[in-house]
Amino acid sequence: MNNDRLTHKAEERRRFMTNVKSFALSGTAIALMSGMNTACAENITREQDITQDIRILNTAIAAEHEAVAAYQLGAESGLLSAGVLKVAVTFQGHHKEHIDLLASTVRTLGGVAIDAREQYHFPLNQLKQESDVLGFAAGLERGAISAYAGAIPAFGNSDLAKAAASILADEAMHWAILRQALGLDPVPGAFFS
Amino acid sequence: MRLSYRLAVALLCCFGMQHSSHSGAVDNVAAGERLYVQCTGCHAPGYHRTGPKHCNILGRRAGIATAFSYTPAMQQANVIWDKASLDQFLISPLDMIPGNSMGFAGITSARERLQLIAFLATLTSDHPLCR
Repeated sequence: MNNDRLTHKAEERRRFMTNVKSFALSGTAIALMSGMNTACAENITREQDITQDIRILNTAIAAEHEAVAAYQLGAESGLLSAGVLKVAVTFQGHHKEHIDLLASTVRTLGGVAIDAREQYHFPLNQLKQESDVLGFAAGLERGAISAYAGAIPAFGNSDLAKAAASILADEAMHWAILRQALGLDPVPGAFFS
Repeated sequence: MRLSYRLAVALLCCFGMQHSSHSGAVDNVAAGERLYVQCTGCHAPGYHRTGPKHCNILGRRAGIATAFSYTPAMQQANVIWDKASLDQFLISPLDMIPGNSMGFAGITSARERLQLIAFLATLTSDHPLCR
């Protein structure tokens, strides 16, 4: 009887341990599997985020190339006085620097930065005097600010959003100075929309 | 006498409502034109820039404007731009058509989307910006 009880207890213990082992194994397997799935999902999401960031960066690069070309047009127009020409060339240099930063970021992310287009559509027939060129440049800068403001929340990477905000601030300074040169209120409001 | 008074009131109300409705539509277009400035970093009504031109966008199939290089995502989107699809797109372009290159988070205000679309709807071939 005692032997029977002992045997029974040993059997119960064995069964319990087996169950625990199988449970532990199942738990590890589940943890591993779910861990792997999460990692895979994270990688896919991360890859999608990076691909999207590259596309957004390339869109910004395209707009910056357009700005460089526009300032080149202004600089070569013969319509700008020496002082304004100097400012225009400085602003153009900033846009070139934006391209360099954005393009190197695209490359770091594993993408290919887009090149400038061979031709841009500019309203040449509307540029007859210095103020026309300034107004045209101000419009481009204004648009660029909006583009960055609209793009920043779309970045998956907060460092990219921070860099874009820094560029946006630079474009906003360009816009304010161009407006000042046009005799307009350089900062027309507390908020930009 | 009483009947003609009621008729007159009804006519006045009707005219007033029509006038108010027309005035509202005009207001929406004007507000939409102001909002369109937000698009001008990449778009112009009459010619392609970083983004495609907007003239005659209503009724156009997405991703088919000539001489513009679209992403495969936009080309394969199978969307006709009408007021409803534009509204959906403007809420979040990257969510509606993942893989398109419009790096724009979207417009959360339904009213602003309505106003912007009201302006876009005016960009037909006879609009000064489209000639």
